[in-house]
Amino acid sequence: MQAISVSDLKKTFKVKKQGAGFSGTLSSFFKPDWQDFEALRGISFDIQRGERVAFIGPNGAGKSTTIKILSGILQPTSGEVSIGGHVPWKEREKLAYDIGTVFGQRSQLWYHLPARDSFSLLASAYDVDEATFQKRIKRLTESFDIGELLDKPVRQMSLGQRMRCEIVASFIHNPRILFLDEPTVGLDVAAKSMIRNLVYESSVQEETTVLLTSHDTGDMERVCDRVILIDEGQIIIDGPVSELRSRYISKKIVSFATKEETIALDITGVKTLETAAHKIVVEVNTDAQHVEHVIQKAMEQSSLRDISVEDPPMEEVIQSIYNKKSV
Amino acid sequence: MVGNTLRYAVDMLKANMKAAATLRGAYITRSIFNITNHSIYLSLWVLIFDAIPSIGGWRVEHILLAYGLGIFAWGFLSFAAFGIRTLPRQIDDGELDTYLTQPKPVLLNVALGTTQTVGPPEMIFGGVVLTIAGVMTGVSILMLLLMTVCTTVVFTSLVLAYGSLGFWLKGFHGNAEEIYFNFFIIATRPEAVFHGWMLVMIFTFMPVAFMAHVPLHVLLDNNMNALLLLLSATTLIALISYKIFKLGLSRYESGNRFGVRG
Amino acid sequence: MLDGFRKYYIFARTAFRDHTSHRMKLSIRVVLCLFFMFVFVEFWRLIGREEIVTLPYAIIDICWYASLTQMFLFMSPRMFMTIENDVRSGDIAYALIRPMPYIWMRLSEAIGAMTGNTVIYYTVGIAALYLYIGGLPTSGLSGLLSAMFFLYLASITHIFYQLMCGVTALWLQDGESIYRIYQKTLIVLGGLYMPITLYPDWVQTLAYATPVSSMMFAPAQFVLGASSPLSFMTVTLITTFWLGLSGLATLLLFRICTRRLEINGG
Repeated sequence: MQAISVSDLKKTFKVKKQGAGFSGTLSSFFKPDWQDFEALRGISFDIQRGERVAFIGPNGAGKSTTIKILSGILQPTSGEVSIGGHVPWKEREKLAYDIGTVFGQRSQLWYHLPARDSFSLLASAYDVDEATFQKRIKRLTESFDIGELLDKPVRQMSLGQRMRCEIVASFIHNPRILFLDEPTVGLDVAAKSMIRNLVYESSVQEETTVLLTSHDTGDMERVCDRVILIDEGQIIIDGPVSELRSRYISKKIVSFATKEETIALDITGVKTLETAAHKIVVEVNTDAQHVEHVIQKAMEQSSLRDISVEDPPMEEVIQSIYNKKSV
Repeated sequence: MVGNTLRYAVDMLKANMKAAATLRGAYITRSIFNITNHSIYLSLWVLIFDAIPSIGGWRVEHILLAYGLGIFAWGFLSFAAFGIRTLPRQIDDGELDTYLTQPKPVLLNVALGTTQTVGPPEMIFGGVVLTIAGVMTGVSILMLLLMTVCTTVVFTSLVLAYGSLGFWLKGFHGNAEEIYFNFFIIATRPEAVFHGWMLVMIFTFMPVAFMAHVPLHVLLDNNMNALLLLLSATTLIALISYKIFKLGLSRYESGNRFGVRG
Repeated sequence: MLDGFRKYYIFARTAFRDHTSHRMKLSIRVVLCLFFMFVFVEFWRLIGREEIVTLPYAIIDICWYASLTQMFLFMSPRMFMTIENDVRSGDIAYALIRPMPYIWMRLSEAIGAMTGNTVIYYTVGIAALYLYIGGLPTSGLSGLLSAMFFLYLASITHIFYQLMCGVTALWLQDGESIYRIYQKTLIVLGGLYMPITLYPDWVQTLAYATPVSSMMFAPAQFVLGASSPLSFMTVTLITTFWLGLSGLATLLLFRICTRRLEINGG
């Protein structure tokens, strides 16, 4: 069954331009110069029920604009959208019961109050009766491990703790579709991976359709099965995450903290990016070399204190996609 | 459906009070500041009437009545709809995004969704001023209560209407607070000051006449025509303000307010 | 040294441009200010018509007086808000480590924005008043120009007090409430509604002892005609005195409050 269907969605913003210098100030005072900016240039896609889709792309690509249109916040310039049979900007109130939203930069929680109070207020907003609310909150508390956070004022929480509560907040009315806008922005590595696991597990458990935006490829890999890559308001790639990985992301950044002052990793497909005392950062070309092999080689030379494996930044991935496409 | 919305409003108010209780210290200081603030301003009128005993037929008790009504309205707004006062800032910060994804009316969330409410102490202060003025003029208590309601509705609506300008103007919060405050000041000026186009203004674009001037006619002259005019104007002002808010909200939804944000 | 000043000049100039670019906001504010000034004019015309008391000043002069003091309140940007926001958001911690002192940076910006306002209010506002009131004050152009000159200087003093109110947010978390009390004091003892000479003696004495009377009454009384109580020399002296003292007080308060910030670790 289709959960989301989008066809030829366009959004144009008007942007004011100001000239430089005093004369520029003066002339824009009397006659402002409006310019059209096309944030979305006609995108189309369908999402099936229970699918987890990542919407990725660099800053300003149109990710947030799309998610805002789908969740009923923005009206598009043209195009058609159906979310569980509703047109978001026309049937916002009906839609609201079906969707849950988490905006990484905004909070649905009351800053000075314990999270529990915000949850119960949201239950009231979504007309969830007391018995159902208690049952749900019990289950969510267990699966998100927020037992000791329930009675803590939000202002005293760390960002990671707050984000867990934000996601619980968006699950309270048991939405069928969950929109997550940059859910891991600003979080440290441990908190990021925790949030990713929780979103994944709860979406499987509750059979929730998930659409998340991010400019972190990690979010997409850990949570989603499908990826839509968007740049300059257009869809560049729409397909399974595994395909994107195997075709376009052929690099890993591996950092080692070593006991020895220095180690050398002269292996094919490995480029040293940075060396310092007790530290080395390399880039592994996964087409030519396995990451495990590189780690093994490093372990032969040193007893490692710490290893981290990261993806190349989004901008590089997109660059490599453009490069391969033009070939 | 209406019942659910009402219950939600009560829950929001409760949450607000709970938040205020956790910030007791700040709440008390703020209340003391606000009352000091009003007292200083009120003393100004005592000074003015000390120098000039009657201005356009108004004496000190007229000012007390007008001021008491105004201050009660201000207190009520701060208590039950503080968020309307900060509407321009909420718009700037994009806080309406979350409200738009929720099923309950956006305006309700705007009004009650921010903490920092003050108000009850100001309402009490307004009540005391009204009581003093009421004793001085011997007006009917019932009418006085009705006028308090009207003034409160008119003032809240005006704040909503002018605060909604924030949908079109960025960084309007500071200006808006200044405007609300000045509404309050104009409303408490002797009625005879206004004539010609100014009179038109305070009955139309800036209908502050309905905050104190008209209620005073109802109270002091038992003028039933004034009462009728006041009741219909109050309803109309509330409706128009809500319309302006809705219009602004549709601009918010167009996204042009913010332009590109990725 | 010159380089130092240039930096502040650039901040002020940027603020001037930024401020004047918000044309809708500016226009709304100017229209409001005009409306309030006209209300004042009508207020005093009414008192003049009623002749219940004999005022020591010509009505036309008091109209100018009350309008100019109202204009003064509209000329300053609400700088205490900016600072309070910096404090609330924690941005002030970053601003403090910049090479130029935070407080002087905000001062330059406020002066820039205030100057932008002054240009508009001193042209549009004065012209509109001239037409509405129907002529110059009895002290003539020289009286009006002296008032405008000192009101500009007093606006800088006013900014100092705004900065101080904003900085107290580091301490009390609430600069706005403090500002509102300061503002009311300014309105009453500064003589916004009527020249402080009409107050009872003890209130006058109190008003003269405070800086607020030097900010509104002292400059604006130049339009009160031949019977204006303070001479040019006196006003020059008290304006400079309070400007200097307020500046020093701002610096001192800022030092004390930031020290608290460092101790509390933000």
